[in-house]
Amino acid sequence: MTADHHPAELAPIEARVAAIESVLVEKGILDTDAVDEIVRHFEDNLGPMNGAKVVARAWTDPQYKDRLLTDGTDAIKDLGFEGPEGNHMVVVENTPTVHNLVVCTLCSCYPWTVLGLPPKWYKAPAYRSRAVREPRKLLAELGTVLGDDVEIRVWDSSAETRYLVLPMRPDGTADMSEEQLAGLVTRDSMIGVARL
Amino acid sequence: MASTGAHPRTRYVQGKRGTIVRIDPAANVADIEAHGGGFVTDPIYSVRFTSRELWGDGGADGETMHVDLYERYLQDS
Repeated sequence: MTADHHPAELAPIEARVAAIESVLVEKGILDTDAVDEIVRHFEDNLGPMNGAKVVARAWTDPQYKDRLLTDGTDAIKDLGFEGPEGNHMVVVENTPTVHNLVVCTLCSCYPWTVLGLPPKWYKAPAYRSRAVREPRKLLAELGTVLGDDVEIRVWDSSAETRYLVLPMRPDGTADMSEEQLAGLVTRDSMIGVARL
Repeated sequence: MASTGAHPRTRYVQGKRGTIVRIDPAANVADIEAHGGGFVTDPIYSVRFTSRELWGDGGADGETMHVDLYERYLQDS
């Protein structure tokens, strides 16, 4: 940081975290390199780009897709994504007549290995309650209007099981490479609040 | 299956009838451990409930909710 006469004031929680970290470092309990490594891991290695690769592979490789839907954890591990908050993964497939939506009514369970950390709205009481109470209305308000012929299946995540939605492959993408396809896949489509 | 689960996470399906759609590996029952009962495992079932079963007239057709429940939370119905 450059010399600044008026540095931005730390929020109380930031000040508290900084104080705890400095005490732990002083006492030799915590290594600053380890902290940096964890932050880097969350910033660089985890995020929806991982899930997008899984989806693109499933779109282009029918055998992989079969495995993904029968043993999500193992198939996702094949692409190098495994770890905490992703130890037991279940992948649910959207079709023209079935739309899947993932929620954690209790709090914030979310598949970190393939989507990173959950967005704020995912943890909001309104999303958590309305996803199970009136999912069709909720989705419509979020811009995903589904016909009455589309069944909505809501999956309430838990400490043990994390869900990933396999969205439908958009029309007009037959000539695209796996990498190009991955670029089309959004976080929200893998939670189920959006269609592609 | 009828759910007897009383944890806050599962209270909205307590006493409701559902259908098992998936069986998951046994896992530690966190409720027991949290109350000092040690490490006890139970198979986990993914149970499908219709919106109408959960919410009655306030529910809707064509909507189902799936909740993962420990075996001890379930009884035959």
